[in-house]
Amino acid sequence: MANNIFRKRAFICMLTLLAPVSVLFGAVKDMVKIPGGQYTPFFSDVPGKSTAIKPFYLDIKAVTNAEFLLFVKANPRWAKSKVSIIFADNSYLKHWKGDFPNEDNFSKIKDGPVTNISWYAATAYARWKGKRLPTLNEWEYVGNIAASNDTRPIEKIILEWYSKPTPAVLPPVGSTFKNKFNVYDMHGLIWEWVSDFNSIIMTGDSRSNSAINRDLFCASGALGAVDKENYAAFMRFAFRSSLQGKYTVSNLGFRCASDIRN
Amino acid sequence: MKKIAIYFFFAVLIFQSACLLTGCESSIKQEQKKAADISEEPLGSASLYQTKGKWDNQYGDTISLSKLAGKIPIISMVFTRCTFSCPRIVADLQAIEQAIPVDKKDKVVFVLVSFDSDRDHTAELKAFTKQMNLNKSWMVLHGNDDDVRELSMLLNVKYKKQENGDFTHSSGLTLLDTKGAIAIQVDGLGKDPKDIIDKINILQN
Repeated sequence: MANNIFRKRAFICMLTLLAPVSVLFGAVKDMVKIPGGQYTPFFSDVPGKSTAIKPFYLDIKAVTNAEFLLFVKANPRWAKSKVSIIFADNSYLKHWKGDFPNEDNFSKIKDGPVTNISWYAATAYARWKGKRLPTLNEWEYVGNIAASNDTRPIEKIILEWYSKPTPAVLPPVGSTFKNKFNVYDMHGLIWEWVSDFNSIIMTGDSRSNSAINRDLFCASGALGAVDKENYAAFMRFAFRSSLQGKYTVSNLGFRCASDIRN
Repeated sequence: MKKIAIYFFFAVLIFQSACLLTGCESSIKQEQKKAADISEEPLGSASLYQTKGKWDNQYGDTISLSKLAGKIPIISMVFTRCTFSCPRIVADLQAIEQAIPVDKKDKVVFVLVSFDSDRDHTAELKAFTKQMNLNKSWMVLHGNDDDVRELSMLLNVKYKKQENGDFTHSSGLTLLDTKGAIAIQVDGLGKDPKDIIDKINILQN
């Protein structure tokens, strides 16, 4: 009997010792390693030229309301009533009842992707997790990977989703297709923030920013090259370029990435 | 021994009740006050000085933007290797500098923040300061990638790093008030400095 207790204690002791090790691998939990590869940016100085993407980790699913609530509880300055007006507009977390919604009014949405959050809030969450947001190129690279559990071509999945209105209550994360990198919901659930969304330079006054606007669809070869897939990408790029960091949108959420440290 | 314990007990009791009557009560009040005007941060919640970034200037000092509190900064983003628009941004700012009314001259600071976290360190910033003939009311700053990206969001500047290490970027400038809130933003190059000057004139000290 005493021996048994001793064993139990030893086991607990071992668990305690191992805890820091699991923290070390924390960045990898619920993430998947994305292999490196080539990605051809939708807009580029040299159209058609590809960019190398280094291997990185990406969250398998988007961040949920329940996960974001933990972040807000730990960092109350990101609560609805406290967030600074420079970091989020006034529809921030508008689908939440109060700063810290309780079980009763949260159960419907807790497993759904968190939306109505600004770029600053998404970035703060990622930092809190020891992660970062994926870059635009990383996101697009993974977004172009074919589905593994859906026979439709990716562009068909995307366009069918774009043509549907956003449901009042978003379905849970992981409810749409999985791609060949084992990442869920790259399309079909929400739009997602990327770390450098403001690197798309296609707005502004063409008279004052003419040197920049050569990247624009009206001037460059993008229109000529439009196929269905590019049309879908164009929608994403146009949407991103219309954003500001403090904007919150009811179907815009995020997932985190992290570097691979050797 | 017993006596000491009793004295100690009383001492604790007295201390606690004193705390209840005075100190703790005031701290409770403070908490309530905090809860009441939560949106009012010391600098005003529209202040860019809430950002936590650290920046190195051309003199090798490390500062946070809140160091500019009380001043009237005009901020633009550039990179020192830029040959086209950045010299024109500097020229626009210098035109504004010429037009600033005498009584505001000491208040206004010109801040150039570099996109180029990899290459624009203090030595390059210093050389740029000399090359552009910038006086003591100019500050040229280097920061890390994350802080530069965050600031670009706050200033509504768009930029993208090119493969050769240069940057494509939008051009504009932002005037902050003395508390660090955005007073006015001007997009594009070669604009009449009048809008900025008018705004500087009506800013409270």
